[in-house]
Amino acid sequence: MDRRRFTQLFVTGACVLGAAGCSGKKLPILPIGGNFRLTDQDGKPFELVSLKGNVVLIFFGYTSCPDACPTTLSKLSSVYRKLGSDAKRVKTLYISVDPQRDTPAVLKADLGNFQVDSIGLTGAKEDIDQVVKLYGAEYEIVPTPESAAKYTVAHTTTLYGLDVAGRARMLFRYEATVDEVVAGVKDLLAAAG
Amino acid sequence: MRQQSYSKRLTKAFLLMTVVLAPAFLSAQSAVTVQDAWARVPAPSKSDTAMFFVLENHTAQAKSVVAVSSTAAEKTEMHEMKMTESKAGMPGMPGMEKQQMMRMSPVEKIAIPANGKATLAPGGLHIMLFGLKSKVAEGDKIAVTLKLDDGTTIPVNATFRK
Repeated sequence: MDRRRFTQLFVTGACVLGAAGCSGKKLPILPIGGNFRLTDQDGKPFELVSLKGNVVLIFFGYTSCPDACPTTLSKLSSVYRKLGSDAKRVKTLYISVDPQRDTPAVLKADLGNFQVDSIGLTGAKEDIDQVVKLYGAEYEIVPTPESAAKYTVAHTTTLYGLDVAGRARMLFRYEATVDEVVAGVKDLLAAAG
Repeated sequence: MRQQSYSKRLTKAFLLMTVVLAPAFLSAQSAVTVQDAWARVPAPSKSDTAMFFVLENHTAQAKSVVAVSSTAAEKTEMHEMKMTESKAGMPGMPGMEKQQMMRMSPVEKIAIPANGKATLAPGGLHIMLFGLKSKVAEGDKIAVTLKLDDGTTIPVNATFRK
């Protein structure tokens, strides 16, 4: 089985494995996610429902992460380029799991480095933890006293695809290619109830 | 006839010299070489970043990098990113019981197998540069020094790119 087919299987895995009314390209509504409130990169309150009408891509990370997070953002900037005019209806949410270091200003400066229509989100640890739980994500603060990093943050790398009504419909693994994410976003834009 | 044997002897002597001197020449060149060295331009708000390259060990002895230093950064360390499995899965999500979890940790050494390579690349081993002392842009250079377990040092010159 080639990698592309494997990823597609993964993406539609929940569908294949028996969500009710699942047929053809109809995307299942996943039993995770939901509305939440956090603070955006300008320090203003943010609520997911404010993005109704847009496909929303969500991932969890932290800006001191030198590898996985910039890689995902670089990939997403290619996705936006390839989407052309459809890109106007796609928003990306970068939720920090390191609020101690990731203030709104830090997030804003970091995201400004990438051509992605994104909103950086942070907040009180309890509020972030609630969103993490809502989306079935996971993170762990790992102290590294021997390193100048002081601590690193292990975190899940799944990219969540939400439809225009804010419902989680699709999951992308870390290795999903630009073309796979573009195809997924197009399906999300076309997806109805 | 005599001339021919003289030229034969000369050839023999030359071949012998090559065989005897080649290893000495190679070891003088370098037992471990560096290729494709680059570092990621950090976000404007950041002074920490990662550096990547490929190390090639031209000897029959396994070697390892045991320390790294640079005058261009406050601190320089060897790190590794690993994908592991999440502890918990997603409730009610068949096929998503385990997610991929990215873990970053410092490592004490980087092994380079005998006559083999060690690859430092995004998603795996890398050099962490903490506190770059000046703002950098694409195309700028940075020098670091690697120290091997055999006591030798190797200079690395990397180019910044995005």
